[in-house]
Amino acid sequence: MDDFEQRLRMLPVARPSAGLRDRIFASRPRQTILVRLLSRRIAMGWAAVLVVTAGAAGFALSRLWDAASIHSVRQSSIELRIVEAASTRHDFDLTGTKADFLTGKVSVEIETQQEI
Amino acid sequence: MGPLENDLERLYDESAQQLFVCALAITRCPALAEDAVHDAFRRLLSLKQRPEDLKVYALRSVRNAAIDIHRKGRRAAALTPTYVFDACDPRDQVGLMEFKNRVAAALLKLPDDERETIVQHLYGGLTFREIAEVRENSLNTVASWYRRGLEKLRRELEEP
Repeated sequence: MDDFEQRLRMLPVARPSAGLRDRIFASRPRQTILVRLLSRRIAMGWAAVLVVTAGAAGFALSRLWDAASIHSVRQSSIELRIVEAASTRHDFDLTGTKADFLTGKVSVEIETQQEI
Repeated sequence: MGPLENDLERLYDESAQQLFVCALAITRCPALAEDAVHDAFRRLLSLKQRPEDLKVYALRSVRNAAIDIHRKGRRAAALTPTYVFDACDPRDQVGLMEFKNRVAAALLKLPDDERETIVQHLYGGLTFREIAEVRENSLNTVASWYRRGLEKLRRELEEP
């Protein structure tokens, strides 16, 4: 560095104000805990484990739900049988006297499960 | 406070003057240079990952922010005639004040690359290697910008 460069270097240079540091760091808005958690990075392996675990848990829950649903349907069918058992007379019992016959027109539809 | 924030605070404490001068070389106004440093650090603070060379990355960010501000022509009327020099240093004698104004005027006549390199090296204290990394140019190019600019300054200032 020669004399000319030295003379240039000696010139006083403007400096940043003391408040600039505070402007940058002190007033920095803090991230909320949720944002911080969401912005965390996780390894792809762990992400895959999480997805598989969540899927397995969902499948198990759906099976449990199905089992509970079947149970409730069975209960309702049992109740139906009790109602039938309490009936004193079947509506289609035609062995009695004429006076006991049903009045009006009776339509019966029979659906067969296989060809006769 | 995260590790990146700590590193940035430490970097600012160690290199605030260098960062500020780099911005000032482009904006030509202390207030705008502070805006550039501020904008760049706000961006740096939101980074998810620490850059490999934080100082070079920060200098480059500050420079880009300064170019952005300069292109937008924000508060162009506030440009100071003393350029990067302290406008009102009480230690200034009459001769020094005059020399300072002449150097500022001569610097402002130089092409952008030469002027910026001289300011970054002489007043920002950056090495040629650091300037080359920040400006993404070769070491030889930076050194030749400096030499060419310095010769022009010498001719301009040493003429009677």
